[in-house]
Amino acid sequence: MSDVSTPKPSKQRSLWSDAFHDLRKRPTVIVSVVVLLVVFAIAFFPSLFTSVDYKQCDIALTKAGPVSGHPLGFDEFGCDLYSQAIYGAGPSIQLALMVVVITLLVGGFIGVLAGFYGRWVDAIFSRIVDIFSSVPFLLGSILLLAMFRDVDLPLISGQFELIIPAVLTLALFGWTNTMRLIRASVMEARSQDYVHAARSLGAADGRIMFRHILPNAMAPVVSLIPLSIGGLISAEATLSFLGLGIKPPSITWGIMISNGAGWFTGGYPRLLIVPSIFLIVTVLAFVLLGDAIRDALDPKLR
Amino acid sequence: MGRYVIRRLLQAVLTLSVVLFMLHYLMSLAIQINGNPVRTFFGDKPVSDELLQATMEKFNLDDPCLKSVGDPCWGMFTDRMQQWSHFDFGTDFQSVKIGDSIANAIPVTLTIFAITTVVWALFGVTAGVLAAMNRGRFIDYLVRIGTTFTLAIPGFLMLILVQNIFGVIIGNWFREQFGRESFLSLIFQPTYSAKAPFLSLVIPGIALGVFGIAGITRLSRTSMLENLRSDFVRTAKAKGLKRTRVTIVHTLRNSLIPVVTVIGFALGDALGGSVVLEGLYNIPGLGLLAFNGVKTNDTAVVIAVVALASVVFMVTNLIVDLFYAVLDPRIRYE
Amino acid sequence: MRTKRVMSAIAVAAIAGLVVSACGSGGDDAGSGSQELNLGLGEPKNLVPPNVGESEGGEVTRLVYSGLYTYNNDGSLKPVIAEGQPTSTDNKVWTIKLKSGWTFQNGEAIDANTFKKAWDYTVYGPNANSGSYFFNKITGFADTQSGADPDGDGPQKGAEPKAKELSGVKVVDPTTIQITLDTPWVVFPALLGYTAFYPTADACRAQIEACNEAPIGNGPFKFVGKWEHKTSIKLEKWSDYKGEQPSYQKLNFTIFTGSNNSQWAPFEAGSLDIAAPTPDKYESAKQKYGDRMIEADSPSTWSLGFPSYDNIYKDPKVRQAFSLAVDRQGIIDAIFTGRGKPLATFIPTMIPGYTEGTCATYCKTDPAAAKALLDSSTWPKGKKVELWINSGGTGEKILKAIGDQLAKNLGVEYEMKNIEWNDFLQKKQDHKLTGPFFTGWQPDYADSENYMGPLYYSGAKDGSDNDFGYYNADFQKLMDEGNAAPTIAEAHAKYTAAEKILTETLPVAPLYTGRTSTVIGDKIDFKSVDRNPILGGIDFVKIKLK
Repeated sequence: MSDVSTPKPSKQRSLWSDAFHDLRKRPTVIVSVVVLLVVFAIAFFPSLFTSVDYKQCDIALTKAGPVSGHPLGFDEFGCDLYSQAIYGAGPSIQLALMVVVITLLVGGFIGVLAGFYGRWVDAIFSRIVDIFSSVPFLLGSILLLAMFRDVDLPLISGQFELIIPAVLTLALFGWTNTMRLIRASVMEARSQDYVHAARSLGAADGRIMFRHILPNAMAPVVSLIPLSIGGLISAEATLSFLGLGIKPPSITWGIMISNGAGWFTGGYPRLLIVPSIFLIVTVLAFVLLGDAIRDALDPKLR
Repeated sequence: MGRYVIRRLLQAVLTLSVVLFMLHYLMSLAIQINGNPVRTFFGDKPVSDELLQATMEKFNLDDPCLKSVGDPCWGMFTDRMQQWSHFDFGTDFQSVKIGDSIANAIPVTLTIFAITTVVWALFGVTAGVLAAMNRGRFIDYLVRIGTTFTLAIPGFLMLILVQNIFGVIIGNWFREQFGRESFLSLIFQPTYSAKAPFLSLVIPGIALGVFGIAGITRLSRTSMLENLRSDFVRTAKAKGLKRTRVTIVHTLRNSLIPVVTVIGFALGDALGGSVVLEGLYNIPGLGLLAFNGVKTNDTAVVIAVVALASVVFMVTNLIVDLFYAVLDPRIRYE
Repeated sequence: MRTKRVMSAIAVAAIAGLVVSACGSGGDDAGSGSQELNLGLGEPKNLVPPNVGESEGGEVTRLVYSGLYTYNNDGSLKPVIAEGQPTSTDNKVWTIKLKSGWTFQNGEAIDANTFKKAWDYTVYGPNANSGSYFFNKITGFADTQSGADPDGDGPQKGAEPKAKELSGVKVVDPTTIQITLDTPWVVFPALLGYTAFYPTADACRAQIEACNEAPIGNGPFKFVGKWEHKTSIKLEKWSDYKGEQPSYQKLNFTIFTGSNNSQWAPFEAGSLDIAAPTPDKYESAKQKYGDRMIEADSPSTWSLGFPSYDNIYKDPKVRQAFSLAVDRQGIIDAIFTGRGKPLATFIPTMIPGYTEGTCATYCKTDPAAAKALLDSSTWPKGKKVELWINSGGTGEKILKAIGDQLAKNLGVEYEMKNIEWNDFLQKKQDHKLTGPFFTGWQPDYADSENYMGPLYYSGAKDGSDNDFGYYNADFQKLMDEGNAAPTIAEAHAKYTAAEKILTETLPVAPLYTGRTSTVIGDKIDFKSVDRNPILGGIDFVKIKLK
């Protein structure tokens, strides 16, 4: 990383643009960005990647090997494995993005409030965070999802209806991390000169919080976004594996892994390996990107 | 310090009571929404109302509040808390005393956690320290790549792979080569074995450790790097102290503080992971107990286990924070 | 072996063809002496005979207790404590003679009075014994039940039962019991071998909870220590047993409760002596242990239930179309690696009263006919099929495969509704399921009547008191005639005629019966293994160790 000391008009811009400058040159970043672009394309436009309908299954073709038009063969239900893996990307990615947006908004907002006002505001929210963090995440999710899996939600239909229960559950247990991080960095920023300056100029609390402090407090959270997307994709797969996520005939990598796990030593390792590779490569790309961003934003950790 | 501890304990009690009530409310809601779990005792068989009613009474699930969705069932909650105050945790659907179930499960889960902690301390911290001391060199990259991969493989998938590859494929090969009673055969078990309780927990414990090791390793590395740069290390070096002494006495000790915290937190996460782990390996620990409780809507079990988890979590946090003061003289509690 | 857990996570093992494994597979001390048999087991719910409702509890109680009768492999009664077969002149009053000299393991003597006291305890309403319904055709049963609850679910309890004793059971002399039924029923003796009719000691009933933890039995095995919940149950030979004694000393059950409660891996690891491979391991198991594998059809049946109460599924043509669209063999091959048998009847083969091919018309795969039937039915075009099932287990795979086939053969879209088991049972009973559902039946007793009467017979004209909302006057009439028939053969003829009606109107589409594949470890003398197709388990008393 080039020396940070080059004078720039504002500290904020220099940090971000330097980071960007740095990121662009790294091979891992380039590779993971390319992978993620492909994954997002797969998730949002699956029909570009396969013309086979993943719901069209012929049980007579159960576990059959690759044939022309079906490059990865078939799963135990006789569904095309490749198109299942392609269509399996969508729900996981959509879910992860939705959860990240919710946790950023909710956790960020509460974190700023708690960090800025301190005292009883902080005390109340910190206790709430304690409550959520003292219940093991997976147990809590299992409990919630088992209860609400069949509750009809108003106003939501189509594909989203399938992922909403999992989104809400993961968001419910996920916002506390964002909150803690933002709170800590807001507390740090609160006592800095530029905040005092803004205050003495008569800026309102709201303006100080969201215009001045937040952009600076975002750095630690930004580098965590790709990591948490990766983590959420894993979490979704775990819930699907436990039978609590999305239901068939919709498909996700977690369901595919769950169905394929037993066949691994039963003579058809392909049924586990294919979805595992899709899952691992995607999460790996997010992790690498996250690492790189964090390094770029906080060069001394490298 | 004393005041600080008291304040923290009060906070913990408050949090715990809210957690307990929330759990109670959630479980009651589950019954209100999904129907009385007693119904499942009879399966597909049509069951007479009398028998159903009598069975519900037997398991204390006949409170009418369980019929109206949203009712917080205060009566049931206070009854349970009163029972708890006499250290009576009730019985589960198999009429087993929950206190006994938990007492049997704790050593098993503790064994796993002990193995996991050893893995973290032994491999995680060492790798992090080595990487920091050889920053930018081969070892550093190796550690980085390794931790990245452990982050990228979801825990449950890793456990499935470990179970199939180490427990079944390699384990079966050992059993054919050396017999079923050999040391290696007992270690590489596909599921928990009551016959070799400790040995069959080693691999699952390590697997659970690998699952969380990235955080520990990276933190050790960062924290080590920061301290290597710090003034007191520079001073120590300037005084002409030996490199190993500087590393071990000055840097490592200070670098371990945040690592200890994270190990405390990570064990909380590990309890979540142990739900999947114990389910896959049929390990009779707390995770499996809770998981089965949730699956069968066995309220009394779920609340008891999660309450225990919360208490442990909060106590760990408190101890970790106090430990800080011991390790780092710069920290003082008001 | 009733229906208690038919669809529970553990019974899903049954779907997967593991019924026997619940009955037989492993402990953890293999190799430590040949006098020990190590088996696996799911956690039983209860071990007191009147309250045993599932195969796990049944497995243990059958070893620790002995009843009047047990079953031969053809389903006929084999006397144990009873002397000869039950006799009756009118099929209404049945007389059973007992052998004398039998005792419990605590020394208490067993005579006719023992049975009467045990049965009075079983049926008495407030005791909430799940086995009490076995007695509901015996005179006086209703009087032993609690009265209606005056305020529904309110705090007030129902009235005390009118009687503490079952008036239809009389002790004629210490070795003679007389049972009087409300109406003549020729099938009645078929019930007598079930655990609900097993005797319990006075000392056991006095402290029923302690007796559940450490049973006071009267069977070939006795408890060593207590029931170590979710861990193990250890039994040893009771040498004072008057019946057939085991040739070995100890039998250990290791209890499996994990989500992956397969006992196959521990079997391969040598800690269990008997186990069933999971479907995905079946092929490799067959290659490796083919000569030590027992494959047998199970008496439990699995079906696709239809909500006949629903406006759409009211039309039998829709039900027939769905049944014809399902490739049963294909599903069995794919999901169970061939371990199952397509059902073309409502009654499985080993059950007395079975007639071949009763459902030949609609229990086959014929996509063209299915499509034609659906088009000519009241089926609304574009309607999404909702398929209901309780979550967790192999059943979900079956239902997905069925959904795929409905999509492929009928061109309908489908959606899975996986809900919690208690929710599923409640919704099923309340007629709230809005589409076909997966349903299983394990027989209470070995007779064709048990596969029809309890399921499709309705006291109400709209079928509102069975889960399917099914009512058919001709079916009801034939069942009544069968129950009142003077001989078993005549009864079966009537039942078969009734079954024919079911196969035309399809309250459910019969799918398959499971096939269990059990591998016997090399510690066991394979020739000594005797599997009872009615009880669906291996006779562990007869097993000989090498």
